[in-house]
Amino acid sequence: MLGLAIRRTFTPSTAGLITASSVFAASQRVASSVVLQKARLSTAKESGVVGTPLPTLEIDAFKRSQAFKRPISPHLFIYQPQLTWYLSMFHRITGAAVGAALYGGAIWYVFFPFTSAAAAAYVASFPWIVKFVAKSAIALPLAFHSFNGLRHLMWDTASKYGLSLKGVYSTGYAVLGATAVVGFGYALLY
Amino acid sequence: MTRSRWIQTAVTRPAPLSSQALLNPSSATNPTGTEHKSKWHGSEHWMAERFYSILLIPSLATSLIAGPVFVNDLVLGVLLPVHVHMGFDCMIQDYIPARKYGIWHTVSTWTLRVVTGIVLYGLFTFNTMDVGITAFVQKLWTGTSKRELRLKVED
Repeated sequence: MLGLAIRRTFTPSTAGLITASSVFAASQRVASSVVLQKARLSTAKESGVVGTPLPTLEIDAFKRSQAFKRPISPHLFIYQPQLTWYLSMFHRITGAAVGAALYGGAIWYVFFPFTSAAAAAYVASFPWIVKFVAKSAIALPLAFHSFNGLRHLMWDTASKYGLSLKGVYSTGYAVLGATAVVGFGYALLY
Repeated sequence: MTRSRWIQTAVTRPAPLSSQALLNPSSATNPTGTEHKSKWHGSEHWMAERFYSILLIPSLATSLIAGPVFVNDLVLGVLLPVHVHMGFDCMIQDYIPARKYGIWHTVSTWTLRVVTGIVLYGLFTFNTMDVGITAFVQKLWTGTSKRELRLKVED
């Protein structure tokens, strides 16, 4: 519990973050002053001290807080990019994209019917590179979502290896590799 | 509380305290009405999601490996929209939560249900009146489909 004394104090020089987090900073200063009294019992090198300077942000946290009318701490923009939440994000994005394409196509067919022959003739008239890019745009997300979906199902079996940190990263890289191979493989089909 | 070895389900929790237990604390350790209907209680939707996802695997594999098969196209025409619907439903719950958006949450949810119904109808019509999903994708992809090649051979 004395380890709580290791707390960074906000100095007035942290421009940009100060207004949005001033409320939190003030409460932290109160809390840290209370905690520091306990910290005197600990060794000197454990007392709260500012080490590295705070990083700067590309977005203005105060403006965002104004827009939302509540204090917002930066989260997505400051969290270290990691395989875990990036793949999770892409799983949802690819699923939504391919799903929207399926829904869009089916709804188009219901309200503006077409024959498959006419659609195929129209698509075949494009240059090869356009077709390759379009196929990649469909095959890669679909492949990634499918393989990551298998990874999700593996987690649902509560597999001990799959849920370990090493397993999460290994299977994650395996999914990326399989996506590249299968996705580009199908995109190259002509 | 035993869990099935091969699939993780929701954690079973004891039932809320009955009014008798609240009035008479000694019965709190042995409250009435602890028996759930089943150990799957509360996890039906989650199980349904995994069920449809798992069924999609052989269906998609059949499409990719064996090409157009009429029954498989019909199955895909049901499984795909249901799977996508559940995904979109999760996104609505995450990004348009009821406690924050009230009526818009309801509007979005029902709009999604209507749209999924239209998609189910559209895919069924396409499967029965046209060449079917798999043959269509093959035709768009490579200019011809295994179905056409099969029909040519049968001539």
